[in-house]
Amino acid sequence: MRGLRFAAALVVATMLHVAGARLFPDFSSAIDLFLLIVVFNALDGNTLAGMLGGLAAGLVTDALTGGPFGIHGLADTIVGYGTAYAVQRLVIQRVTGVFQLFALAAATQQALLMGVSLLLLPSPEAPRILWLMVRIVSSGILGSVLYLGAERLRSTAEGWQAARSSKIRFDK
Amino acid sequence: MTEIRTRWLLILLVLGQLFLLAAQLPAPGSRPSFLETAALRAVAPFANVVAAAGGVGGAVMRDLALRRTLVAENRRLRTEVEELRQRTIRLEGMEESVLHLTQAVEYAEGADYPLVLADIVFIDYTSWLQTLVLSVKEGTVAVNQPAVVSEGLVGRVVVASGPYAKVQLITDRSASVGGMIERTHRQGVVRGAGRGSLELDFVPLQADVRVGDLVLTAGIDGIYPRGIPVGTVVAVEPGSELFHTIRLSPRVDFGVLDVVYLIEREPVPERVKEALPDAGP
Repeated sequence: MRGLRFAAALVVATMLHVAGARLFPDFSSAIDLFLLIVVFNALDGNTLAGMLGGLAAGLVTDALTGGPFGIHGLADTIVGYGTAYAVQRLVIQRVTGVFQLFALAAATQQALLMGVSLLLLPSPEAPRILWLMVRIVSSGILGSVLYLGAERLRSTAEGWQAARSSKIRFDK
Repeated sequence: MTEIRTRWLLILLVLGQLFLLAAQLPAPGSRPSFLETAALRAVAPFANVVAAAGGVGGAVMRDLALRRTLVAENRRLRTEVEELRQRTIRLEGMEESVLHLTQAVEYAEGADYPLVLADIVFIDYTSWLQTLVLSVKEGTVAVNQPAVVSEGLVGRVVVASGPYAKVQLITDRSASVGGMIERTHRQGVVRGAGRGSLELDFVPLQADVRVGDLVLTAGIDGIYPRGIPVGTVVAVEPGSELFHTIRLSPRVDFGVLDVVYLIEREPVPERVKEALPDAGP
């Protein structure tokens, strides 16, 4: 079930990514929807799921972008694992914490991409600082919105479930 | 799976991907790996769906924009058509007036006798005596002056007062004109029969009269000159006595008149008319 949900999220992210890039040329420079999914997937602290989710999302990103295939897979695998590992050791109670987690994940991903590029590519492209900052901030904001939305949805569903359970209770 | 195994798996995945990246380095993009082609094959259909949806959405937006443009253009063209229609109506009216005036001018220029233009200021069709009231800008008006238009005879002046004159129409029941059938030169008397029609009296039964014959003034009544169209025969019936009963349709449509011409011609003096029976050599 979790795998299906993740796959559906990847499909939606792919379609939004393509649609956004068609509408706004700088969309993919400003927002990384796949990273949001990777971090969100790792928020429960499951390192294996976080790692595999990062691998899948990274490879999908590689399929859609023009760089060497696997570079996003590598970065997102590490980010997914790292996020889950961090969540195991941190207690996140405020939205600002979620914001920092997503922003930190975006910064880590960019650092890994730059590092691997410097390590392996013969003439790596210099990062555009402005867009790098925009991507980090947008990841933090969108990640927080996604987290809050999911929390509200979850509480609504739990409330509905509790109400449903009370209705079918039989009193003697 | 324990955490340690997960770490080992992470290391394995990282190393594997580093190996994959390193394998692409000698000639990047030269030959895609199986993984890359598989990932592309898995992702491309979704991108294709979005592109197709975007194409449809774009087409719909373009169609909507085109529709808005067409509606505005249609509204503008409708207004323009209405303006042009109004203009055409005005121009047709002007053309009609020009043709009418041209005919009048040509008629006036080709006449054998001097004509005086007179505006019609009042028309009375309803009373027993059907009359026109004229206003003459130049010249004088005299009783018994014939009034004509290019189509034919209208009537004669019965009252003259300064620049104004009252004209008795030939369709008036008390009006009479010396007439002549153009084809046979058979003469008679044209009388007003009321209701806008005429009758030609005193044409004997043996005379050849046909429907469609044109009747002109005969010039025998001392008022109207010879040869002015009066009417067309529309019915010929044997009368109760020795004469035909002939009904005429006037040549002039009195309902569309706006100007007439008065013929400046000296009528035969009454003194001469009265002297004729006794005149001797």
